[in-house]
Amino acid sequence: MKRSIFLLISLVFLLGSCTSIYMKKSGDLALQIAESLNEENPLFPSEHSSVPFVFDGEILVTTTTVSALWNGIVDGRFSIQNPVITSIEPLASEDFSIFRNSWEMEVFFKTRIPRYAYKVSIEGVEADMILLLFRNEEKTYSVMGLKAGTE
Amino acid sequence: MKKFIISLLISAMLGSLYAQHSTLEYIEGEVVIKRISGDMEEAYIGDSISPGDSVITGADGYAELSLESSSTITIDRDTVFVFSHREKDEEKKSIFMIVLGKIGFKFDKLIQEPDIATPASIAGVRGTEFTVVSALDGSALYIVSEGSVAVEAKGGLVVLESQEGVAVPLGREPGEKFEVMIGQEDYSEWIDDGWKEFRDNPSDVLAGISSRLEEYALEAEDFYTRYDGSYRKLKSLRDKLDDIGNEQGTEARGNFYKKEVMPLEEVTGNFVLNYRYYALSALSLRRYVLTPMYVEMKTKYIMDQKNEIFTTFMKEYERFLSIFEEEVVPYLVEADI
Repeated sequence: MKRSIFLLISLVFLLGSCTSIYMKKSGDLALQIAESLNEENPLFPSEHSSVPFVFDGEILVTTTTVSALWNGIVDGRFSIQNPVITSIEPLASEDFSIFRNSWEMEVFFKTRIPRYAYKVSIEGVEADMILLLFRNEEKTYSVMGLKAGTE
Repeated sequence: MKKFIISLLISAMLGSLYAQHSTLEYIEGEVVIKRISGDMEEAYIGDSISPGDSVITGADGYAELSLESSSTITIDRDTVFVFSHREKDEEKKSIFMIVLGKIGFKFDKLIQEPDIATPASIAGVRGTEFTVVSALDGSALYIVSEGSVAVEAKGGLVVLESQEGVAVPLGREPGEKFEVMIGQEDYSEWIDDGWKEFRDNPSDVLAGISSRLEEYALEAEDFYTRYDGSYRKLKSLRDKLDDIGNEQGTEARGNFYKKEVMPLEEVTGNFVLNYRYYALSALSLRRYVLTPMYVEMKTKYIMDQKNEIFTTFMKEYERFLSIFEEEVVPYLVEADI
């Protein structure tokens, strides 16, 4: 009995640590994305993005459109100086309304969210952004969504 | 409830629709297939493309499709091609839709002549070789290398023969025919012109696309209403069919089914095919034309969102989305997203 309780506690602890590690790694990538935008480097976020990709209320289905998005953000002089992570949370299907309160977004969040997906909120001096990241099959991390704005 | 019925009907129709298909013979760069089931897949040589599927190429993408009739379709970079079906003149007809980009067609032995559609136009073909370009501003360009193509838009009709071309602005009749030196056409300039037109007049160009969306939505609603009436009639006929079976036996039931029920089943199925065709055409506009427009404008004005050009564009963007959400979404299912 004691052994079973010990195993159960260990399992819960292990699962908790895995989630913490995944969240920390998602946060690390989010900060790298923010820094690369500050350095006017669209290549890094492009290379770490996956499709389909959510941008505001839009669903981007080709890497070409996603690259155009990151290039456009850099060309538009968006930067997020002194980026600070304000929250990292597991992504939930109800989070669709952060992007757009529409049937399309609701369906996308209900059907397309990978198992280990996280919502990272970052604030900077003049701008903020929310990045959606997930741990992919290769056990690396990818960006699958962005909402960016100025204060 | 409407969405549930649509899902059931689509599932029921998948079997028959999949009867016709084409095969990817060659690909280069980024080529993605969006299946009728909603799955997005990286494309591979040998993949089948069935009615309801879309082929989307990226900036470095290129694909060649072969049809069962030994015809070929070449899909250029940054192109969205939708392989669709609808009923026209009581026949199920293939429709090859070019939402955006450039597609070359070479039809040899056609079992059935398909229609070629862009947001601006529809064309019928007769054993021919030609190219169609659809630009971001919704305009289309047809160039015929061999054979004959009849291009129709807004009630206007132009028949192109070999080495002739025509441009069709969105929402207008086809322009004047012009001669083409085959091999010397510059399609990329045409595509760039579509982008330039959008950058110069973003709200006006989007307003044109919104009008097209409204037309698709009206067609979808019209066919759905006809489907609804037909389906109700079909339901009562099926009830009657059961009564005949119980009262008069199997043979009488079979005769009634063949004479009354089966033809109505076909008519009802055709209405579904058509309203889905228009709803999915509307979705293609929303996904593949509006999205790049929004990405362009939002990123350009990301640090200046009170700019009048941007705010005017956003008003039209919201108008487009409200038409889409109110008038098109009822005819879509989750698998479409």
